[in-house]
Amino acid sequence: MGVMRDLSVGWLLSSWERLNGDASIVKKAWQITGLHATFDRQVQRAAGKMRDVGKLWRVPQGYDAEIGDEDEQQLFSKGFDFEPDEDDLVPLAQLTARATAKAVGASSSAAAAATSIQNVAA
Amino acid sequence: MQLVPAGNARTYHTKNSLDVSVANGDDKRGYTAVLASAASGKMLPLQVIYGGAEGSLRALPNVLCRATVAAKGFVFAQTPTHWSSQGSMRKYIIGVIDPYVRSMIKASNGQLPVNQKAVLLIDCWSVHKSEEFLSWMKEEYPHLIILFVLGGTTSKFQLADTGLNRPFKVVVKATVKATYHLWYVQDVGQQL
Repeated sequence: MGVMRDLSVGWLLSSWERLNGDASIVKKAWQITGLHATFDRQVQRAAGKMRDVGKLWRVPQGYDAEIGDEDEQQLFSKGFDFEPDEDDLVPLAQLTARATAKAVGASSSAAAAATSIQNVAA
Repeated sequence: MQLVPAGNARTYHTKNSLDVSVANGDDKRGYTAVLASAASGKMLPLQVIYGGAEGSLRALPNVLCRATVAAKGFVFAQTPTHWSSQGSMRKYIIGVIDPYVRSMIKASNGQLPVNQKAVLLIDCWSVHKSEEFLSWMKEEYPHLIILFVLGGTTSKFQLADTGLNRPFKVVVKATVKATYHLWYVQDVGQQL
């Protein structure tokens, strides 16, 4: 089945290029996430529980304690500068920022600033 | 998905037989394509994982095929089950995530420091949470800050689940249908 393996590479590349050529599909995925974060009750409940960050976000051991002020400033004051669609990202970013802020013990203002962070999601 | 044209699912076997063997009917080859996206709307290059002994290259596509997609940033891995593993995940960080973050820093023309931090949002898969992986990340990539998708909200926050996997699979299937049968007919036709 070596031929199939070789062919599969072409299929994946072609599909990836087709999907990647239309940024709206990827942005839509982010947008859907944002809408869910805003309207879905399950997430609302989960967000309410995020006070217990260690349990729900499962912040990796060591990360929370070792992100110092300097790193924090850098993290929160600068994001990747290639204009993500902030409107789409705000709900997720806010949740992310809140969790991050709690994890590093940052203030709420730092959490708000973190909404501009460019996320990379896998 | 059945790729080889198999007619109308009828055979010349005795009628009402309970078990009919079909040549290559149970021959299945699976592979994993690891998807990730950035908030900019860009899909990161894929990591493609084939089944085979880790560390070996025997199960991978041929060199020419690999080189073609490697130019686009694709990376390959091989695991016994063709699912992601600790090793393949590390390769993914090394081969896809880190290069992407570096490319963005470079594209900023000095506006971002070389050690600019980035957030990596991943789900709560056991390998992601493992101390082995997190320790390695902390050691090798301290600028990548890992956040986990809330437990129980994967369908809401895991971006690949919310809107990437399905369109990607649809496009792959459409691509296969559009190209495979043509290739098959040509290949068989040449041999007749």
